[in-house]
Amino acid sequence: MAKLNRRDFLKIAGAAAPAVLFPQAAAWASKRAAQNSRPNIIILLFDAMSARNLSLYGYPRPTAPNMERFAQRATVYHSHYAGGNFTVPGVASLLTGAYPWTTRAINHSGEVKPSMAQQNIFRALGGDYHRAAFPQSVWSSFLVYQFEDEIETILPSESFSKLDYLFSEYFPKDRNMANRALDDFIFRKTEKASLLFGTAQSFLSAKNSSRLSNEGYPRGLPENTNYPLYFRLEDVLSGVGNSIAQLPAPFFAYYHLFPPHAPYRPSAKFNRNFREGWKPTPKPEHRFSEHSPQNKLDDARQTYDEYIASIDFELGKLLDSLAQQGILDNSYVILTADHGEMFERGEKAHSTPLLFDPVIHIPLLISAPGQTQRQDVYSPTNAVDLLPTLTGLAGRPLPDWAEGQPLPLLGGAEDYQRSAFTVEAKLNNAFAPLTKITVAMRQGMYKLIYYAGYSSEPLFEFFDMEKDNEELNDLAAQQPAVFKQMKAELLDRLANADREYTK
Amino acid sequence: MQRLRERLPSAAQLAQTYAVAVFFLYAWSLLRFFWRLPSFLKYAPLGEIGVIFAYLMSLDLIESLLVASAPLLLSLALPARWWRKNFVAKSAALLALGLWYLNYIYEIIAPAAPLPAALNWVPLVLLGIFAAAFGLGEIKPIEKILEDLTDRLTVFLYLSIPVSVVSILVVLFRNLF
Repeated sequence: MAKLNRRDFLKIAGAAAPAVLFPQAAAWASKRAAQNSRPNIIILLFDAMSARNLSLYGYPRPTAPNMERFAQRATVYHSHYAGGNFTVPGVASLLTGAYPWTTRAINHSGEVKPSMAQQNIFRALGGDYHRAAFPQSVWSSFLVYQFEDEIETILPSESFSKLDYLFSEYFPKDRNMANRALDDFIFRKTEKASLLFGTAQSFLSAKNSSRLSNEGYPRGLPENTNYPLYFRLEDVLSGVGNSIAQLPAPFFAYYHLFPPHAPYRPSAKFNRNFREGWKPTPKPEHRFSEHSPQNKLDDARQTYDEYIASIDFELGKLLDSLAQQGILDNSYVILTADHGEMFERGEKAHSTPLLFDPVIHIPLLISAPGQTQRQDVYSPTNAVDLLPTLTGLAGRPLPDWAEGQPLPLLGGAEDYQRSAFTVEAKLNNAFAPLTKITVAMRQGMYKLIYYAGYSSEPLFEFFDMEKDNEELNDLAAQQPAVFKQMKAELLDRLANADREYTK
Repeated sequence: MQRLRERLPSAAQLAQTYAVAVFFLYAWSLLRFFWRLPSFLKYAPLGEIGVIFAYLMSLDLIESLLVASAPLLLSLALPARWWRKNFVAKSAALLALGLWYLNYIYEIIAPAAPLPAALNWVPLVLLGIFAAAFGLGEIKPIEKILEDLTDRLTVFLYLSIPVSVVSILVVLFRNLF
């Protein structure tokens, strides 16, 4: 229950006086006051930010001092997992409260299955909230525009950028399809489907991006991987701050920020800051990895860490600004990610069948209105839990289609027995049984990873995350009972998810 | 006015020239569409794939008209004995060579990299293509081959024009209503 501040109290008191004479007006006034007493909700989601590379979660490099500072007034979730291992399933899980095998948002450029398009966080929070979204990641914009009927303000992907050649902005009435047809297909950075206009776009993009000032970014300006969109971290984060300040309360704002997704472009302040020689724990190459050499992975990790530190620096400024404006006093502020990133076992980045923790363990910090003390939650949680949590905080009923549960300390309790899943199935048809798939299942201290379709036989890996946080010792033989029980549950859940598509 | 009329090619000649642009540009797009189609089929309903195709065909129509207007403008700008004479052969050669060169430029421009130095030669290459097209059009056997080829290519117009017009209507409908 949100606390009433002085202004809310005066509003309610003012509404009470004429209630006797003007009951309808009083009802309207009390409804307005109730609406205004609802807390604002701000989600700041960073693309491809692994919890395993944040000093907040014990990483040896000081990548996130400002997140650590923010954590002093927030609840920190230490075992929070993404719903998927890349943007589409990760974001869809967060926005729908359902796992990828249910939403079927499993492919690159994919979307939530049409029958679930009405089941999303914007609708669940209801029209009492002013709902806003900024999908800086174009893949995230596919999902946001799928839910656009429920969103009052959408800041398009190119907002706050220095240069972009996205064309869907010229088709506001058909933005989602224009996005898919033009930006994601015809004018994609590679393999353009238009010879004349596509070449012209490449020419202009190359010409004008080379003219952009790289000042402050020795490796070049941050940019989107697959789409011609260039930006500066400070512009994006300050733009987000300005847009939050302009939203009418109560509001729900979802900001999906593209960094630290590759290409990693640290600012000058942090570039080459982490060349101190620290090496991560050596891990054996995985049979399903790309077999990248470890020295290349270490180099990429260093630049990634420097990019995270650059983002954290700008994030610190944004959070300070929100605090100064008093926005933190009446808002839930949520810092999280859609998935992580890995630089080990012969694998780089996140488009991989390997669901080890660096790829799926993501940060989650939630600062409640006026919170001044840090709280820590260690039981496993999942991105699907945000929707039921937020609907509860907003005083809305829990949707029956939500597969998550309210987060501990925010309406829920620590539950070490619940099972939470992360699903990778990008090579499958979304409307057929999932045959080439990796599923990671977390239950209490245990984690089970299931691979199907990558080799002649399915493969299972089983870890004790408390004793073996680096996932090096497969315990299937030592803990046969738990392994068997988790395996049965995982396969049962997968079969259930496929039932609709099995003839 | 009379002079312009003398330089204006006939409708049949324009159609033959337009067919060259259609052949190259639509083939390029369709190749990429069918290459991506298995991926579309994995996640997009058929209706959405149809809309993506409509955007592609609409853009191809505009592109092909723009490209085909280049030899027409040349014909209107130059003395009739230069370009209007053997219009189809010269225009077909110009478009084929020009689009081949455009393909080359497409390949050498890398995303997020400085422009390649080869682009400095564009004006000279275009001049060369113009001269080559002019020369080829003046050689009788080549002229005959190009005329015959373009005549056969016009069959594609019976498909491309209706599909593109329907596509444009789909795109307009989705963006106006």
